[in-house]
Amino acid sequence: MTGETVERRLEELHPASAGWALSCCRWDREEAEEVLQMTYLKILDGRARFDEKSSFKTWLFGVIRRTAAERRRSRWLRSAAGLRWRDLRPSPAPIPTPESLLGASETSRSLRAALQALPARQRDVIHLVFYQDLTVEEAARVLGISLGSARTHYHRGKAGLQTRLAHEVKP
Amino acid sequence: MSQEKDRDDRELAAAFSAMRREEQEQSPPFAEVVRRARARYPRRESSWRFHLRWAVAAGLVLAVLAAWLGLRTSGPEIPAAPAPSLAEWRSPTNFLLETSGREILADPARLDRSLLDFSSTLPSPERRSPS
Repeated sequence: MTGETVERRLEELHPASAGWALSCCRWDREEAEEVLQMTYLKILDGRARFDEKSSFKTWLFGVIRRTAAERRRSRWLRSAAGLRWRDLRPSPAPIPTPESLLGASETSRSLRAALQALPARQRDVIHLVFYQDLTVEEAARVLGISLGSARTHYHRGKAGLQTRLAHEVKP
Repeated sequence: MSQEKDRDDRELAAAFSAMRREEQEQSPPFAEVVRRARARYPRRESSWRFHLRWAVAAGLVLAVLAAWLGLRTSGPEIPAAPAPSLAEWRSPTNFLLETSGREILADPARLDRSLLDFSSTLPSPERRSPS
């Protein structure tokens, strides 16, 4: 795949990638954009190469997930060592509450709140299936887990989400 | 039951769809994200150059280490004591084998000779016959 083709594919998938990066960063917009920037540079500079073993979208989402995890780990290590990045904000960014997200509809806010309450794996699988329209098998490939495990996370996540949303609607 | 499940799934899908629309409206365009990324993280050299640089650095470190070790071991030579030959060697606990009566068992017994040699204790023939 040539550089131009890769760039075109990245551009096509940009809206979906932005949504996935937001989910990986628990809807912290700044963090999600940084993760997206790093991911795009990794791919455009050839530090991450598409091996054509899966679909481009699945591979790209895997790179985004790993980049977000690396960034989280590195931030944690630096804060644990008492160091500060030159570009790190003085204090760790708080997880934005749904209410703090301006312009979001009531439904979206409730959905984000319910998603944030789910365990990470369940949230990821649910996001990939419902938001990104991937199959459970593709979601498993993105997350690097077995299909059986992804199915379990999917069913538990969906049940948890529905319970939480029902509680929000009927308190 | 199945219909209810389908309805729940449809409701979830609709909620996610609404969230997706909102998020996509708010996300910056691709070109802008790449431009900001380039401004923030200047282009790095290609990976083979990066690896080559590391390989050269590692080679230098190894060369310095080898030279240092070579200098350390090439001091004035102390003549080593000659190793004793195997035939000359004696065990330091050899004396423990020196037990009483060991000479009796040193050679195989002879049929024409008793192990008990009384000749020294017996009187000589000259002294034995007075008459």
